[in-house]
Amino acid sequence: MSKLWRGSATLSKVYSKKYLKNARIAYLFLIPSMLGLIIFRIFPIVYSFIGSLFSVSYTRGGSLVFTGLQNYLDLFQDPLFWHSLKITLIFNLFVNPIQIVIALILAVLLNGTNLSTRIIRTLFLLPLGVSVVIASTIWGILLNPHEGLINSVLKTLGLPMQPFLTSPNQALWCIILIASWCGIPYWMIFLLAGLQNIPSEYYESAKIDGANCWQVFWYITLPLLRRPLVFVLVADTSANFLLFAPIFVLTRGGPQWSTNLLMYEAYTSAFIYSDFPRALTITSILLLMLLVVVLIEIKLLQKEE
Amino acid sequence: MKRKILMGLLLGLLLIGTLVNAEKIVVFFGDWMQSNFELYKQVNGYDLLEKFKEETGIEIEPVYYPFRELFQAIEVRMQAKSSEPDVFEVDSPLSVSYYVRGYTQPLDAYFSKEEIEEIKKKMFPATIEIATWDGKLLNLPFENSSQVMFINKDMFKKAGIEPPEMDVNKRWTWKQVVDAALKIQEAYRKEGKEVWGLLFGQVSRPYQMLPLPQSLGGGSGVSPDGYHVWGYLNNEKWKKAFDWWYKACNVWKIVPKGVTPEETTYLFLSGKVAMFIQGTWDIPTVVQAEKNGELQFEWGLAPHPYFKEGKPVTPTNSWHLAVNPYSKKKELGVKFLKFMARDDIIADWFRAIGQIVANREAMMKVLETDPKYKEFPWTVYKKIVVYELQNTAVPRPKTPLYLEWEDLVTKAFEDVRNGADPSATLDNYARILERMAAKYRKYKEGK
Repeated sequence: MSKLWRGSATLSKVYSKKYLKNARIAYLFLIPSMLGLIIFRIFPIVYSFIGSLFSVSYTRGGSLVFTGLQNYLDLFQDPLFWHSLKITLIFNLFVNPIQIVIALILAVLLNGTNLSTRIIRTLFLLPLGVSVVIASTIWGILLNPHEGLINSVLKTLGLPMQPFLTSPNQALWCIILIASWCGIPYWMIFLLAGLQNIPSEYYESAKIDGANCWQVFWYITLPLLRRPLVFVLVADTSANFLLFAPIFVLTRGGPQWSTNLLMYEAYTSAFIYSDFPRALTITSILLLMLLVVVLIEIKLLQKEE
Repeated sequence: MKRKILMGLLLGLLLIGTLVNAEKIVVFFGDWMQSNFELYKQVNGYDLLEKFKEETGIEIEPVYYPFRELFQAIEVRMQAKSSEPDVFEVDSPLSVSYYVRGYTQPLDAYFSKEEIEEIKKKMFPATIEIATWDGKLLNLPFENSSQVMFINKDMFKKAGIEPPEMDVNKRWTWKQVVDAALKIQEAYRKEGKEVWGLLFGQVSRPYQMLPLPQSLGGGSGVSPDGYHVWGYLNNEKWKKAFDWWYKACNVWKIVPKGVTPEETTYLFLSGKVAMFIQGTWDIPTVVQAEKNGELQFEWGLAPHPYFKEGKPVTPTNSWHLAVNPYSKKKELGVKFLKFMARDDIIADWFRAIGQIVANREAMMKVLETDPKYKEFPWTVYKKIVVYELQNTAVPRPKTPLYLEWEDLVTKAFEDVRNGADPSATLDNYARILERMAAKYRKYKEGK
């Protein structure tokens, strides 16, 4: 018995040595990515939080002084912050479902190998070749209230011309449209990859069992697409919570603060008003909020799984 | 022995390297300065920055930024307390704001009292006023500005209206401008064409819009001490001016929406605008377009309009040069400032670029001696601009809050242009700004 025990102990020793050696190599390979992660992700987050605990002292020539949580207290009493928070939540409440649902529909429709499907798929992927800044500029020209192409078409059709980006009621919807135009093809690629990983046998057996299209989608496609869907949901939410370029290029938070998302409010504080502590406080809150939303999303989808 | 010689050589090279480096300063300019320097060389036959190097042995390394990015670059560098740039261009109303943040080195220590008196005597008063705070000279005025009204005479002819003249005594009121704009638009509408009666070159920016409330006696929008906004930005005169602006854009519809300041000059050049309020810096642009055969209409210049119940007020001030307090080469930076403010340099600058300069004496000398200024459109300097700079030019508010104030007042004008209620908009922005001013009031109280 003791021999057997000794034997098993030696085996586990050899195994754990091998395991440790392998683990060390794995960690070595991970170092560059970990370094990148620490420098470009973790450090800015920590810096952002620490910076939010300081304020600019103008009596000391603009130097920073430690004020604890004062910036947070100031921000919570600032109506402009609450307004931006409201706009950010409204924006995300619409833009995320719109992007994911359309990306999913397109992915299902374009999940084929015949020539026409491939051509249409390529057409849908074209926006990916245009940066968000360029896309925003082009959309700005198209949506110009006087000279824009869209209003020219409306005028030709005898329809009333629209103010688009100059109207507080339409500007946020225009931003949702632009963000979706840029985002949908991108998220569609991930979902397409997920769809192509589903074994065709499932569909064949469903067909034999007499399942209709909706049943196939609901009972086979959707459950097997859950993992890429979770990724797309989380990544899309993060991207839209931190959306900046279209606001910067087209509306600068206006008209009448209707597109003043929190990210733009942080930018304004930092680079226009030179109030970096306020900007860092906003980004810290934004990150915390994003973390909560993403955790809820993951939890909900995992629960069903 | 060989090793010693080698070491000596290396040390010598290092020393030369250090010396060469010490004689070089970095200057942040707006990107328009790049073409200005080229134009300067073409007209005057010598390179301005090269001349400075020849005279002083100091090399200038210019770094050019677009308008908005220049502000951001300054913010980022100064926040980091970077020793570069050594010198940078300052939009003059930001002088105080930069000073309280510790971004600029007051110049009094680098100039004798006589030199400062001499500078003050030479410059247009508004340029010195905006650059002074607590009795300190914060930067050196370099350029200046004034606004006139560009006229598309063909559009006036079509509507059967006599256009305004290049005469400050026959200055149009805003009512005359609106009446003419409506008639012109109507004349074109009959032919199914859409044109605009009025356009502001720097639309919604306080620099250009401020004369509206100021002409009515509404003041600058900030308290005289620079620390309060409530009651100053939203007083009755400001509300009246905003009401006029609302009507111009939304009731009379003589001003286009959705046009940015970057697009306005092209809109005027395209022949779709009857009256264009713009800085004299666009005169060379229009002249060039005419020379190239791109201008399809006859044009003219007239004084900036005003409200009849008030007084004429025109925008002024422009770019100054400041020294970075964290620079390790402040003395060299100051030398560059002095060089750029010199009479002969500034006279050549005005002659070449056409941009009004802060140095009144140098500018007047050129106007008196150069025959070019006896011909249209350059006659505008003598007939309108000099008068405006000496009589109607009012600087923007001098306040540590200027960064926030400018951005939010721009948004207020923009919101009203897009249909927001003028009175409620002003109240709302005044409230936000008053709240923002609190941190500067702490500075005033020494907290």
